[in-house]
Amino acid sequence: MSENHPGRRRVVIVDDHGIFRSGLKAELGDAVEVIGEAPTVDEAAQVIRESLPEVVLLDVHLPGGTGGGGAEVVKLCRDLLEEVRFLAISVSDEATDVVSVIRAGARGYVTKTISTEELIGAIDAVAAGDAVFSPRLAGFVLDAFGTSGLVEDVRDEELDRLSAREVEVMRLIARGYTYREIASELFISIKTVETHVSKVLRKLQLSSRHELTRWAEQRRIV
Amino acid sequence: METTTTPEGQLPQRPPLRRALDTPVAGVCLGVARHLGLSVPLVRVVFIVLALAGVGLLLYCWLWIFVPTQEEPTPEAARRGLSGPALEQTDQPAPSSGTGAAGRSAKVQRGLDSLTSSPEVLLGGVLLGLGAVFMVQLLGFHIDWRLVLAPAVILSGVILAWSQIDRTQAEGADPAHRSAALWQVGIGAGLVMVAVLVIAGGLVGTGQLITGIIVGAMLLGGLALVLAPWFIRLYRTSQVERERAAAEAERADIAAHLHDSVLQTLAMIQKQKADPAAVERLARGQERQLRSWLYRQNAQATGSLKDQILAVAAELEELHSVPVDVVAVGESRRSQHAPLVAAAREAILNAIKHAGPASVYIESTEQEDAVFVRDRGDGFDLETIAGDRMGVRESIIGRMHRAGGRARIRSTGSGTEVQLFLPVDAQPKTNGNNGSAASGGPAQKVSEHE
Repeated sequence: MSENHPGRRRVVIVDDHGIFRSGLKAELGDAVEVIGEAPTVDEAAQVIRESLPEVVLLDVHLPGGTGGGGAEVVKLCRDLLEEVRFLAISVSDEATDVVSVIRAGARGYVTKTISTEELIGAIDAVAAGDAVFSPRLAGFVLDAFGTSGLVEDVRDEELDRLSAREVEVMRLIARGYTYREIASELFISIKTVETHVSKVLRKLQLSSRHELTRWAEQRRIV
Repeated sequence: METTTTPEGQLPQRPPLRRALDTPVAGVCLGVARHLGLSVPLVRVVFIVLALAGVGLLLYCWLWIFVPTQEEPTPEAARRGLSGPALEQTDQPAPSSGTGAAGRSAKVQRGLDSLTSSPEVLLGGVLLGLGAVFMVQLLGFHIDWRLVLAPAVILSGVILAWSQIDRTQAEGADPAHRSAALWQVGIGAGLVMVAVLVIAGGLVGTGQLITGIIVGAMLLGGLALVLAPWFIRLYRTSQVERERAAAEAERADIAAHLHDSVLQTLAMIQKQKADPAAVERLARGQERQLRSWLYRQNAQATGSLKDQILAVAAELEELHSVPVDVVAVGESRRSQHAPLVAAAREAILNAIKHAGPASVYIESTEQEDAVFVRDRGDGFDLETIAGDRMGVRESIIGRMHRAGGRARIRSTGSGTEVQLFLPVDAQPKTNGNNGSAASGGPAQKVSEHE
């Protein structure tokens, strides 16, 4: 993954709290190159268009724009999604917020309490085109799609159900396993784990399953 | 004003004139007594004597209307805001008149007080007065009953209606109370009107009375038409005021909570900035508290498996300053979670004591509840340390087995995972009651090592 990019990841931090931005910057240190910061929806869209970073660390709650928060930033940059990857980073427990930013096109969701190494790993994974699921997000996916996963092989166009393998992967993420541990647990390669997670991300983004929205309204990921 | 040291002059300032609560009628006498520093029975006797003379009742009614009760918020109290008590302490010891005959005078006072404070005694007085009037008539004097009864009816109607004045605000929210109050006020007003008509009927003829009623009604209608907008406006304004006060109270509640918890924690974090572990523990504890406070309306279902394990995790996290993350999926179909929660508690405790941060995953399906407790410690071999690990053997494996579930422990170099399963229809095993004998054998079978 990271071998393709010898240089440091170019990152933009979008968060309306200046203290959090500077704290995050200090925490990431030399691991990434912070090329821009923005506190509002409109400024974020502008900064991202000008600097074209590899990864945007995006807070879910942002002022400005039409009030859509992080999801609106992703939507404004929809044409850039091939080059610019969004990683939602939030303290929010509101499933609606998390799901809206993921469905808008973000590649992952982590909580603000994540450790620095894990965050750097997540930035790398997202930059490489993979999806990053926190245990909480995996728990939410299982809650919304169901844990049965009876179907051994779900066809790709079937967006409302998870295959048995995808359920397994989600369950292990929710149990706190790393991709490497999941791979050895299920006797598959890490690459395959990443593929499964990306597929689940795609289902989460594209599923028209009406229950998903209802779920998101009722639930908070705790 | 000079300050005196006599018992009567102990208070440099008189307490404000407020009607007292929990009294038979309206608390006027007690309020006046407190304000003037006199004994209550004395004030009551004076009022009764004045009432017999004719002006006492009018004075009483006057004070009833214009003196606020203790409970009523006054403008000063509102201005003092939240920082000060809205009510002032009004309980003073009843001033005693002397030291020499203190015992006897206290007894007399108590007797007078109980005599004058009970409504039964008042009622008895009224009945006695009625009897006296009858006696006078029997003795041959002519009495115009209209002149006696009509004021009495007016008086009782007024008392009936006014007794609701102090109550409507406090209990107005309850519809049953409100309709009862409306009935009482309505009946009181009806009584007064009937009595007034009776008096008027004695002064003018029936035909004139009917004309008068019609004219009066028309006048009232006209006045109502003119004044209605003001009353509606007044009502709306008071409604808005009340809502604003409620919003203000909520804001104050939030501010108080933030002050009590968040600001305190921030202050402590600043003090302990040299100790990262303490700072993290404080921050996590505060985060959890704030979350549960903000989202508490969603947590009505306390007692669910998820809530119980969240509580356990929070408690252990606090106790050992090690983070515990909990992810929950699905709702449990069981109603009794005690063994599963106890075993999970033991597993979390083991993890944070021996291995550091733990993540807990709860999954409830239609068949069973499952709890996974994972840590990233060095792991251990159940075979080699089984002897002294009674916690694991007894509290986790044995307990789950006795409850009709099962437990597995997987320990590798990169961490340990305790897996607990409890089927929805699991019944506690009766043969597991005799202690350690049951925990040894089955535990071995269900545990698995890697």
